[in-house]
Amino acid sequence: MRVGRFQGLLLPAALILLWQLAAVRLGKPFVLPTVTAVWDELLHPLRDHYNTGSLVSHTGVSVLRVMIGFMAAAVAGTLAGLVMGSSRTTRRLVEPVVEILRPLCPIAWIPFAIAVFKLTTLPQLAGVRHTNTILDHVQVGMLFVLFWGGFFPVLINTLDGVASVNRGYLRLAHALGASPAQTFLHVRLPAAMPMITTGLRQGIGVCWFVIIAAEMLPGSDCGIGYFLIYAADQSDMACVVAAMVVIGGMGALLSAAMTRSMRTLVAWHGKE
Amino acid sequence: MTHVPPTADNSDALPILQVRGAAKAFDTESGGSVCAFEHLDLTVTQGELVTLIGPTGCGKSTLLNVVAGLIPLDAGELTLAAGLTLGHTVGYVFQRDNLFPWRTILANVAFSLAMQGLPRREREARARGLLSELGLSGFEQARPYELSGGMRQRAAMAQALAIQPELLLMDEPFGALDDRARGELQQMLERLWQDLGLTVLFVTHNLDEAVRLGDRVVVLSDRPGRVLADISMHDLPRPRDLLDPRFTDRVVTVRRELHKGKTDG
Repeated sequence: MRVGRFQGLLLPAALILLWQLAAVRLGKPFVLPTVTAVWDELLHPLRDHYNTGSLVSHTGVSVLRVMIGFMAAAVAGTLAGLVMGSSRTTRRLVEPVVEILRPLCPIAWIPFAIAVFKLTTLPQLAGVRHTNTILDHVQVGMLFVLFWGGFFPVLINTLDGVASVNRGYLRLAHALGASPAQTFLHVRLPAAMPMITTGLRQGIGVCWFVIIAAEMLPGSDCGIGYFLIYAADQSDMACVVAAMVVIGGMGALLSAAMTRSMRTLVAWHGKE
Repeated sequence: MTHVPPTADNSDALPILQVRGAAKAFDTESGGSVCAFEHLDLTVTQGELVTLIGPTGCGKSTLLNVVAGLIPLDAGELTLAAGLTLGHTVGYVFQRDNLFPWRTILANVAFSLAMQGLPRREREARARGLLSELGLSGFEQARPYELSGGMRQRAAMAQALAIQPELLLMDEPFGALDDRARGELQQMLERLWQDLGLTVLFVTHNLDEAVRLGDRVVVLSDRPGRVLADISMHDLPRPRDLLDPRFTDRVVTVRRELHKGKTDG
């Protein structure tokens, strides 16, 4: 099946070819850039643009923001999910609030975040005025918005995972002399791991969406979303498309990295 | 000198489990109530292997869960010998969901020992011993889903035996196995029961299995379950030969009792 292996590449190759032909024919690089112009940008990811930074430096800032914001959301979401999933009282108490806040688009938090945190950076929050590192680009307001983006997917999936553990495993733990605390740690938690992983993967995906949108708003001064909108303002569509490719690729990479890092914990899933 | 009062034929046999006039009903989703069993009496003495047989839905698994203390009785009484508690001195082998799929076989067998706080080295040594006893050496690091059904049930038995139970409850443990694996496991159980001096209450819906394993075969009726017959198999020598006419006669006897339960109910 040698042909079959490359079948999947056929359509993308045809589309890229079509794009190139159309771009050359149209001759308006400020509307549709050629494949070769975009490819040239992607081949030189360290090239500075408009004195704002390169594809790599902008992407690095965005990834760092997402990592920190998502990490906070993952820890808080998992813990809250574990508590809510195992205690019915807590769940009843907190669920209405969750259901009110959850449908709220995380982007809608941005004005509020700016009003509260202004442009305070993470080092400034810790009392350091300037570190001259990439951390100076990590604004607390952005982390706040990212937090809400990542928190709910993690919370909801963890909660469902913990609450819907196969009764048989709980019974087995009981029959083997496990205390309630031991059952939680050694049975509920690992049994919920596939759902928690799903939540984390969804959460990091939402965070990546959120950061791109947040960086595109006024007040931002770096990040791949900022770069995208800045290049668009210069009608530099080759850079815009290159940024789009990076955003898509990075989103896939983050999701894949998340799945991979959890793989050994959930290898059993679906094989019971 | 203490005076020993004269007793019945089995003077050294202590009742380890006594059920008197037990009844249990469940609420159905439609708002009604289904009686699993009623007026049920059962005694199991120390060292016995008692098999419990009856049609599907006759409440035999429910009875096992009551004995395990997982569900309470509606009426009647249940007396366990002093100190018997599930997870410590009472072991339970389920038909399904009897191994944690995220743990290796070794970690599954060592689970109860880990819960007791035994150091890793010690609990793994004991788990390895049990696994070799059940012919699973070399599969310590395998995951449950990598094993055949028969091997999984052996691992589940090792896991239940790790707590060193005095009473072992088994709920159709070999129900999903083919004849060959079933035969092997029956033999293994018989040997372990004799070697370890266990008391076993074994639920099955398989006639051959009930007669092959049981010191006594307790026959339950259709729902609501009652004890139709309590047939002693003490006179059948072990290991039992399924082709021996004495064995097949006994199977017919049990079948007749089962059949009676159907026509009466």
